[in-house]
Amino acid sequence: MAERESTLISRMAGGDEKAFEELYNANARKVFAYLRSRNIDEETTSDILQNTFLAAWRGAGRYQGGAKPLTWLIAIARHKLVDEVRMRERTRAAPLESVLGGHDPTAENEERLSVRQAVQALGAEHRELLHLVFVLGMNYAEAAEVLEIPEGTVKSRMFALKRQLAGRLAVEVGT
Amino acid sequence: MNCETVSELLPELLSGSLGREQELELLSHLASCPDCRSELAFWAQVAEAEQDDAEPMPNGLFRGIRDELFGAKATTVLETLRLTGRALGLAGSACRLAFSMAGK
Repeated sequence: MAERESTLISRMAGGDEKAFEELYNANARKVFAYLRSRNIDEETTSDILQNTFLAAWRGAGRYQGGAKPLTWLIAIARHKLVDEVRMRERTRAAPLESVLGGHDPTAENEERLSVRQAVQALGAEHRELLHLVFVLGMNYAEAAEVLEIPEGTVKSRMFALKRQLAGRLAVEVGT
Repeated sequence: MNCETVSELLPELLSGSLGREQELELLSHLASCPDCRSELAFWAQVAEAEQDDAEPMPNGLFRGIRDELFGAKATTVLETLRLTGRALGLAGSACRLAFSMAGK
């Protein structure tokens, strides 16, 4: 699948509009879901999604083929999101925390939480990692590429969030 | 494969991103380790909670992208073809009707 989609990007670089539509159909929902998971509104998400695919079309010739197409697209979307956040900070349209779904760690609930509540209460950094792995099906190396951090940092973040969740859920989990 | 390694790989197992060989090795460990199985159940719940939160995408976004990149040309060509086909179909029906009337 990813190999076939890589071919689509090569065809896009040659100006093939049909290949672009196929790549969009195969990945747009995942890119949209990723952006929505970052806690931004639907209108901004749609704008960033459009900018992501515009950039993908224009940058198809620079695609190296090393990353899976979805990883490549999510990395572009993430950069577009960062650009949006910076622009909002400059224009003071919305504070960074609300755009990136910042979580107030002092709002710790002493009661035992459901797993879903505990996941929702995680910070933006941890939610993003969970989304990349469990919703987009990325391995640690791919998540590291999107997040622009070493793979070892992905592993330690996963370990930290496991500890955090286990603590909130008052359960004992593994090593 | 020891429990520490398995623990580290469980999220990747659930995401379906492990290689076949590693997956089999991990499953073999899980078959004999209740602690790791209980951790797998924990991660499965976390994965399900995260997946439940994924939102559907509204329709019609591609049209905006296509128009931005290729102008309204793509839509117009397609619609022109549809209209031409429809017009030809109608013209054919009109001709058949005219011939049948002329034949009477």
